[in-house]
Amino acid sequence: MTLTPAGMPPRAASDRPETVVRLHNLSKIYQEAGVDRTILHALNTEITEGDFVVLLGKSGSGKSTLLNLIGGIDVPSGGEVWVRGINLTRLSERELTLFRRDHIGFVFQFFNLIPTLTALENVSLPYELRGSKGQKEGQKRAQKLLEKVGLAGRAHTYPDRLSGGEQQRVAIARALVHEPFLILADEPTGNLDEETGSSVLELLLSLTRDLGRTLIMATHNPEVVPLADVVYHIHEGKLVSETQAEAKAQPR
Amino acid sequence: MNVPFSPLPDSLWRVMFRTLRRRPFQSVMFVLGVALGVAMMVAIDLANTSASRAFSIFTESLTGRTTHQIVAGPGGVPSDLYRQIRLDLRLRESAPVVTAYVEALELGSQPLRIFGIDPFAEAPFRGYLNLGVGSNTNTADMAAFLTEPNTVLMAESLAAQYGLKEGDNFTVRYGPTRHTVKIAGLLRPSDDLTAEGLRDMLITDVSAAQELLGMKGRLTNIDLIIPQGEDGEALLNQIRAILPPGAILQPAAAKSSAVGQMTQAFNLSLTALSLLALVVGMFLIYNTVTFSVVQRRPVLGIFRALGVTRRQIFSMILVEAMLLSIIGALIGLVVGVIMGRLAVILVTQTVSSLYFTVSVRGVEVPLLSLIKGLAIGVGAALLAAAIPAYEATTTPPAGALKRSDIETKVRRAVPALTVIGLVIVGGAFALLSTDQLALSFAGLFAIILGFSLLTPVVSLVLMHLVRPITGAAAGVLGLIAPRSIIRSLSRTSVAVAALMVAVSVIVGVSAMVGSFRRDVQVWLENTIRADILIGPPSISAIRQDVPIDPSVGALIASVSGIDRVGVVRHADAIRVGDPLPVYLTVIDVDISEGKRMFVWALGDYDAVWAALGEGAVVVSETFARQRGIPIGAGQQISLVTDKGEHTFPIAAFMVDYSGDQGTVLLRMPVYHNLYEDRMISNAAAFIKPGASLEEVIKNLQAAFAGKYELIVSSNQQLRASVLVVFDQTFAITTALNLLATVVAFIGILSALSALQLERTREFGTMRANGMTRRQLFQVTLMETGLMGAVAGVMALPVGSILAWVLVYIINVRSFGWTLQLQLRPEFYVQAVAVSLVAAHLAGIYPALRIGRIQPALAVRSE
Repeated sequence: MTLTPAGMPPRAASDRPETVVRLHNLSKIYQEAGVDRTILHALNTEITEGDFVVLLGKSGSGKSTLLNLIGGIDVPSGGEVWVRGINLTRLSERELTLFRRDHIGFVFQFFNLIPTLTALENVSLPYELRGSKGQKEGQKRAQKLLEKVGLAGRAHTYPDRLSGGEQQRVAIARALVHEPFLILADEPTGNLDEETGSSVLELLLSLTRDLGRTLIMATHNPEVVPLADVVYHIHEGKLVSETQAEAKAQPR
Repeated sequence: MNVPFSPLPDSLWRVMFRTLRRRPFQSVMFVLGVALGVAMMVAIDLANTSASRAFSIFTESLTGRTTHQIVAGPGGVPSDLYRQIRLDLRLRESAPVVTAYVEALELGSQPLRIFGIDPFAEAPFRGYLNLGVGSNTNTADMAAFLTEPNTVLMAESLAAQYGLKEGDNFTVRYGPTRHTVKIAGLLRPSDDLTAEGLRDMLITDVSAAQELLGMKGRLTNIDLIIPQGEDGEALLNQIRAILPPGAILQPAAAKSSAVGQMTQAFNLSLTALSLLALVVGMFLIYNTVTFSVVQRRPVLGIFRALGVTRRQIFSMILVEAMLLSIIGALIGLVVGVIMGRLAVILVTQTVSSLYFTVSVRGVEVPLLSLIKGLAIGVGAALLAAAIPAYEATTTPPAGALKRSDIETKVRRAVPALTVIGLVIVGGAFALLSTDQLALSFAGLFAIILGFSLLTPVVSLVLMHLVRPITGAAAGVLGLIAPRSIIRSLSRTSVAVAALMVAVSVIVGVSAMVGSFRRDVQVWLENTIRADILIGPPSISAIRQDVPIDPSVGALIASVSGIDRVGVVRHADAIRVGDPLPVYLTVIDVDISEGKRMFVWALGDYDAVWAALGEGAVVVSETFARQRGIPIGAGQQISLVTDKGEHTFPIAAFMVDYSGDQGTVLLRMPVYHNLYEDRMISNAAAFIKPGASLEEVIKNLQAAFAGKYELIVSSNQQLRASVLVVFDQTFAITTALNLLATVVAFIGILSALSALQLERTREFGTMRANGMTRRQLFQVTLMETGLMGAVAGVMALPVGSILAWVLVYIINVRSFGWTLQLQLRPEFYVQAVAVSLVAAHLAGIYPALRIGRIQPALAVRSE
């Protein structure tokens, strides 16, 4: 199965692309046995709304760390992360949590479903977290999303009864149920076989495109590159910006 | 499930309930921890309140509306005084009382109080005895009650219990004499309170009581109702003016409240022991919650990434703990009420032998005790769960690097914990140096807490030390055990702490009781040196004040084989300005033969004996401490005697374990000089050299036959019976101690099981790589055994400190007994053995369970 950019719905020309994410001198340093290890070094870039951004890099290059910083689940050592005009580095722990709850959707490599909740409940969870009043609405949306990811019949199944691909599809539905404007996917296909991975990827892309959301994906799957609007390469803590065309032109 | 006003969204509730359902073992352990702690607390609370309630109902029923009482020393109040008050002072609201405990032989030999009254004077005092109205009694035989000697009224319920009816006879025994009494009527109290007060009473006419109790011409007390205000004051002064020298006038409330206070220290020590169970239970809860948090960290991380707030996570863990603790506390209440029925028997036994006769039939279950148990149980559980719940909120969101692993945090916190632990231990000793008993108990708990905080550092150090040894002995397998203890330090150290506390308490309490028992033995050997002891059957193990005919002394001396006889009189005297009675021990010959042990004395034994002859007294250490008399030279004590107030110099302070209220010892001639009482209470005899002890005892029994019902026991028998009373007294302590150990054992079982089961995947991997079940068993048992060893090693010093605190601080402050702490090696051997056995036993279940799991399943398990 191949994915083509033509398969993606085009963005309307009249849309004025807005900056969703802006990184300003962003750094992350870890202490390891008393020694500083710089993972990210003074990153500066902007990500536009609706884009599909791919982060490429070797294991340990800092892709996940960057995603975590953008998603507000990690704190930078220096610099700033702005998401939709909000400086995440200025938010309190609680504000960050609520920000994530309302605006960010996560898809993890290891699915990270709650084992004690059914597929439907896992999907409706982020919606419900906003307040128990939304329970019915959340379930309705979750059911619709499960239909979209082809799991309508497994709504009441617990995660341990689902295959890896199915679990990841539930996770995708969960990442979208509360209509976040930013979806962060960390190696979403890393734990799946090639065919399942491709179908999951296709699903993730089509759903985010349908909804006009921004998707940032960390991966080492080069198959994704042709589909991306922007590709970044993280190398020795620096961000090497590459457009899709350049990425294609350069042999890897 | 939707809970209104909850800050938790439905999905979190669902997750909570399903988690509880999926982890029944942990839930059960949690519930068990709360249930046991609450059960013990409620049981002790019920026993204490039942005993003190029985006591207060009883005193109320005796006191009635009395405002003042005229009481006197050993001889009692002369009957003439009553006549004077009633006729000369025209005080109509006055009533004579003659009372004492007797044994009702056909009624299961239970102690009943003979309460001798004047039926015509009673009405204003005790309503239910108002015989004139006839509503409470069958009046048919009132004539008999008033005219026939030895007739009694008793509660209908008591009579029914033993199948007795009006007109029936039964036997009562008072000291060496028996009497037959006839039931003249049955009382049908109209309310429950009155019924309870009446339950243990035999009401007689005053003269009948005097006859039964051998108190002709004398009364126990005269009850008065004195109006408040100037008139009352004037009346009181008039009464005081005609009081004979040996009698005093005192407010009725003073005595009963003073007597009630006697048991406070005893009740407090029991409460402290029951709290200990709760503390150990809290370790168990802490462990269970920590484990469930650690196990759920991945899920909590996902929640955090999805936007669940820290507060929501904290609430979730706490609500979970609250639900389980409510279940546990409810179970604890039920078990506590059942255990309370048993505890009340033990407590009553101790109170009766140490303080006053009290009989508690049913266990009252006051709502307050239940609410208290529930609140403390749930509160303690929430407190124990709060730390891991907070810990849970620091879970990094899924995906973020898990660098702040709980275990590394704990290891980083070890220095701080150690410092805090040391500070708390230091603070504990500051608390112990105060005079307040409650603060001393707080100090005791602080010691336990402080040393618990030192467990992580001790575990770390010991595991580092032991690693090369186990490694050399068992290779890689030998390295796994100490390393995994270090790796899971947050939980292993809590399990070790729980076990350490329980074992330390075993060491402390057994060293205290052991030292106490040995001191009592030494005291008995030194004090009671006579070959034979003769006394009336007694209801109380400690009080021996039933009067017997003084001629008994001469009778004993006349028996063949007897060398010499010493008689002893025990009686209550009145100390000036002291609402509590003073228990006198009056001797003519010192049966200790000069071996009496003194805490302080003005000189050697002969000097003390000489001073006694000149009118000095010897005061027991307990008496001095309880009544605030400084131990040392120049002290004196003032008593109300039949010749008026008399001040005695104190020649010595002696060691005495005969009762916790202590005694004042004086010589017979001095006593006879100041008091009119000529009765004796018991006697001690030395046999002639070469005479057969058994034969002399037989001779004595033959001499008493048909005349006096006296118990003749050999020195050995008496010592043994004293130790039986001693053991009975500590039965409740031992029982509580045992229960605390059970709680600790369950604690370590749950902690170890959880720890081992958590590593199912790890063990599965090892099994897949060829580890046999036997090896698995060995590793598991080595781990639990090492933990037991750490607990045992720590319990040695901690147990010794607890023993020291119990012996030299708590015991002295509670009861006034100074004991010689004796730390015998077997206490330590026992401590280490208990730790090791408990830890090994606790390791068996998880080892078996993991061994049974197929490696493939274990590796797959989440």
